[in-house]
Amino acid sequence: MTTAAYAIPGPIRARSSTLRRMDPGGLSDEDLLEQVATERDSEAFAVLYRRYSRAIYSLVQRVLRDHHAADDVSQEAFAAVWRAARGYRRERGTASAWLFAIARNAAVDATRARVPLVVGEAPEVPDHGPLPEAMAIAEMEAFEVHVAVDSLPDREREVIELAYYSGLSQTEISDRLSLPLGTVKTRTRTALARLSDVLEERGVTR
Amino acid sequence: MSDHDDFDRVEQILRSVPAPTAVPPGLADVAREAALGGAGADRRSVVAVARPRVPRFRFRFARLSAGVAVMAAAAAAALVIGVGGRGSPFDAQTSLALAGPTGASATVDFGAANQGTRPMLVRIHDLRPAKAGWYYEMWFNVRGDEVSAVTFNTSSSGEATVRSAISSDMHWGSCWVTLEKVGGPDPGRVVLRST
Repeated sequence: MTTAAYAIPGPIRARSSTLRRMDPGGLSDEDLLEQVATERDSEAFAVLYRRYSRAIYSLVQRVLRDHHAADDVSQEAFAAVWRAARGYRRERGTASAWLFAIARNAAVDATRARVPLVVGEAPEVPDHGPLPEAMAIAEMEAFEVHVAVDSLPDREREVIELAYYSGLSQTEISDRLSLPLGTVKTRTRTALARLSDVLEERGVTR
Repeated sequence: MSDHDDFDRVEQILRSVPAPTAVPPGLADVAREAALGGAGADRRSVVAVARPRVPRFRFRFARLSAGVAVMAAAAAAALVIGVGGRGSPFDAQTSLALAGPTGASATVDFGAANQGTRPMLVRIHDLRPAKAGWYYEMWFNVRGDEVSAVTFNTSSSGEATVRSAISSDMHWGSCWVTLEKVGGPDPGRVVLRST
């Protein structure tokens, strides 16, 4: 009897230092999008996915507050990236902003589809929550930060995530990763320095 | 601005944004399939293109499948796709065999080239399932470059049948399978090598 395979259809990757011809990993986001648009390059698409999947999924999940719906909408968002790549114009803005817009629109559309529009009386108590524009800016900033963190080398990203997302102290990180405390400190400083540059490049200058 | 001030600024930014949500293991494949699946002839051939037997499937199926993979202690990035069927789905034009030090073995059959790709069927035998967070990956040496062809895990009986495809003009010198850690550094440990 043939047993099922646990196949993970190809990551289509190459050992980092050996394959330049087929590795679009060094291209900018804008170049990758243009590759997708003009060449229908599935490898370029895969690189974009790697760079943006977590930021897009997190954004969609935050908008929808529903993991199951986020799965479908993120899937649709990436399908939309492939379909609409030809519509991207470098002169109009960064690829990151374009991807953010695609994902957010997909999430907002899904929200509208899920919640029937009910016309009723205006609330008597004003909503003191953040304005939609401020929310969109905050979402965009979170999106850029997530992409920036994902761009770090694995070992640096690991300490940053444990420190700032899981709230571990450097000593706890040292224990968790079985690394000398000094190594954790060095990696953290290196990562913060790298992040500073990346965030500035991405326009997060607060 | 001093390094210290700069680090403070970055730390403040990091603390001010919510933690990202982990992407479900199967989403990569499903998203790619959703995007590229409709591309048809528009799709450019690449060196190694993995093609699940079911070309398009809904995410709910994938989610269930990924859950099974996790339960089976498959690789954290696994998406489970049953391939089923004992015989090859195509006439093998050429084949190669792989063997490992612990008695594990594999055969790879390649079919006729069609529209820029060549079907590939990998059968793995007696290869212990990778534990959680690990997976197997098949590589080809193509003119000195190491090219990933497909990733997989085996069942509890050590078997796996994986259907994939390679570019029809790909010529390889050797083939091997490594045990890789999800997110781990390259290269993984070789567990099977072409004979």
